[in-house]
Amino acid sequence: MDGLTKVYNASMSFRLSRRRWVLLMGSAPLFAQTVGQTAAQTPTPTATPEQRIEKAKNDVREVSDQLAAITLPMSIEPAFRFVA
Amino acid sequence: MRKHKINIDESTLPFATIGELGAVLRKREISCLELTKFFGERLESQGPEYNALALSLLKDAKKAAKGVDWEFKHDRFRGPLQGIPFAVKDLLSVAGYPTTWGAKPFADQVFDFDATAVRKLKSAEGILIGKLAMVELAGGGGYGSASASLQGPGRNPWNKQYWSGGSSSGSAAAVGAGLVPFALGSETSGSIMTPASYCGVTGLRPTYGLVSRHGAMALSWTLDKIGVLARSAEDCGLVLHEMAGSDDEDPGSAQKSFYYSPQFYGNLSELTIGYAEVDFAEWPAESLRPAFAQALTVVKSLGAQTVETKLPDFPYGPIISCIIDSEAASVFETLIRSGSVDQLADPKQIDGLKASMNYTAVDYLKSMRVRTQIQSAFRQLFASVDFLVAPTKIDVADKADGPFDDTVPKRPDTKGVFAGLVQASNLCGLPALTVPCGFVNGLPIGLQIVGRPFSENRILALGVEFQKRTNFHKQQPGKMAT
Repeated sequence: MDGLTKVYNASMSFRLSRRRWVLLMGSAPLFAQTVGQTAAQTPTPTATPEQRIEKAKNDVREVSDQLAAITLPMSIEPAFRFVA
Repeated sequence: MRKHKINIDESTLPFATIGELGAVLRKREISCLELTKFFGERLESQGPEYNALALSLLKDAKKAAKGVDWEFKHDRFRGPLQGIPFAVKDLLSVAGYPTTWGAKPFADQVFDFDATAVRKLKSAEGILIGKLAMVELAGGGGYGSASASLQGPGRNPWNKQYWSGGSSSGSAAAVGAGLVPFALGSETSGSIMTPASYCGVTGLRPTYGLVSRHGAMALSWTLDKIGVLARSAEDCGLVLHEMAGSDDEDPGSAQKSFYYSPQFYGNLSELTIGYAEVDFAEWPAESLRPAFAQALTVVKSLGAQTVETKLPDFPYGPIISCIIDSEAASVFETLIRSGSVDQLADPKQIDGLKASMNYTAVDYLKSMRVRTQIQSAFRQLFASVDFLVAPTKIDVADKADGPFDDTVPKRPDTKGVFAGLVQASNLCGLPALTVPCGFVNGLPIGLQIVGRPFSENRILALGVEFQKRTNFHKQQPGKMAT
């Protein structure tokens, strides 16, 4: 572990199991959508519209599951502010 | 090539920089009207070859050009953009003309005001000659092929069988083909960096909030940035100088100004470039590695200190996906719920937008909370480096026709700076510059430079230094120097 990683690790404490970590790292290509690169798996050419939308919903569920696996200190606030 | 009556060889014009064009205008070697007609007619006739043109605005442009010629005649010089033709991605509104967002459901949409960025460039007496094609809705929902656009697949000026990249597809192709000296694009996550790299042009993505988003289609309120694609880093700086600044109409405005002054960036030897050898030696496709190795050699010769580094470890992909998709689902909620989303060209994008409605508030807020941690980690990273440098893309452009190749190639286990940099730097709102750094099998590759927030002068200065030592940005499709 290099010095840089030690510095940032001191200020963050989200925990992931090793299994979850491998899953997250492996699914990185899934999410480069706005640069036009597609997901790792796409439906077969014969997929029905219902199958395609189900696949898209499964992709969302997968991201949601990955996010759920991240634990954060309660003190971490979202990266936006409301100003009265 | 016909000679202009004021004795200028038009063959010098298509790939000239803003400075070079400004010089011939001020010396009255060509009138603004002639220059406007030259580029406007070129965009009209050749733009469709690359599916780059959404709408020609040549008629209005000629009127504006006559006004600028009057100014020149009376020695009223306004600035470097005066009289320079430009075009904008069709997500920026231009009063009275269709702003289609590249998408069929919005093909007839007309706004009665200019986007702030457009208004500012017009105030600087730039000449708007057209609106440029884009991936529909800037790629919101994800898309499976280059055909996800009203105009069809953006085609690469270096080889029309290949994609121009997106979502600023027309902007990159038009500049790359010498149809316009510079163009505006936008980036949420890669939509300036990717097409600029693929088309061999210089692209600048400013710090979030530096350029007003007023009048620009929103895909993701907290991630969208308006930027520039041009022939050089210097040109990007000149354009940013005019279009940056506070705007009360944009809730995300950083309320900051920008003055292009790279000469004051400081002594390069006092600055540090963070990079990772593995990004240049192992991550790119094998055929690209020699060119990237050469680019890294140039980077190391620039005079700055260089240090091996790596990005903080975060799940950038899921985080940025959730944020973009959640915000896009809200932006386009009416489109999705009404069913009009089915009119989009790309089935994957239709499905993706519909599915995005399933993200929960907790998903979104979790992503935004991790984003806070990512910002903190990057602030610490930039305590030890001034720039991060990596390949912009590790492959050349995809083929333009047919679905994108969805096979995921084997990547090295070791990560450096490249993996996640586009996502991370967008999540943090950081500025980035991509410069052409080589060619592989006739297709361009690019190098990206990322800096701290509001460090545009520094990253532009590094880009200028890189371009003083290389000539990739001067190459022209069909005329590449050996």
